[in-house]
Amino acid sequence: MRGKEGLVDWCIGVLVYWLLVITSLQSPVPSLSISQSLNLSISQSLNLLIPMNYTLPLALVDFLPVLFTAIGLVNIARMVGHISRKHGQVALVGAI
Amino acid sequence: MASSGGATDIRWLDAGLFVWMAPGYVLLFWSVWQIVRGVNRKPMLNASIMPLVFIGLMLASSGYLYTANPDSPAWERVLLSVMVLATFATGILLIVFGFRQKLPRVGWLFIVNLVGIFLLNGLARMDEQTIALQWVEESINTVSWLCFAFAAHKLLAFTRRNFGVQ
Repeated sequence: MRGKEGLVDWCIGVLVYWLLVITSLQSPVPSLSISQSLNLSISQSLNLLIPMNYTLPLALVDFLPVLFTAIGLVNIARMVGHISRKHGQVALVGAI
Repeated sequence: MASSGGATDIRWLDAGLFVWMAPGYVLLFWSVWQIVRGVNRKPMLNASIMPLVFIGLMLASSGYLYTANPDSPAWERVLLSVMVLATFATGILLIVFGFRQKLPRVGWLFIVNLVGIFLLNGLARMDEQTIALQWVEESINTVSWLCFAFAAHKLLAFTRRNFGVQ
């Protein structure tokens, strides 16, 4: 039962964050087909292919895996610490 | 976000990424390996000596390659290879640990994480990195690491109930 509640909490947290990201979007995610249908100029279309053309919403989403990795690694280190305290300390140093 | 605004020069942080991540994953892999051995009633080896010796050798060889030929990416490849191997091995250990402790959901979540990592590797090698593809990659990355975080959370709850040195 507790496991299901934990899963619901996680899902709500992710949903709230996604809503924040979506609301921060000033325009829909562009794609080449959309730009072509809007008859944008070639240079504007090519802008969509420029690598690392990051937007703020994309940067916000990029932060999510970092957050989840940090939570996961710290929990793994704590899990190790419950079985062997010394190994747990080493794992925590590694996770950090 | 600082990078997206172009306000801060963080190239040094990018160059130092593997220097920090490779030793970290080695320490994590070693610790997870030893507790898996311990749970399977095999003797656990010293917590820090072996991984520290390995990390020292790895950093020394990488440093030597960098000083010998700074333009070559070989020094970075050494660290990257160790990091990838340690990540993969840790993932496999956690999958096996999950299934052996009769936690199939945990095992499957760790499998989804590993599959996501390999999928991203393939997508990142594509020549044209459009913004739309970046969104797909970030979404896969997010789901993959959410699975990892949730599986780790479940595993921690399990060890709290069944093992307890603290």
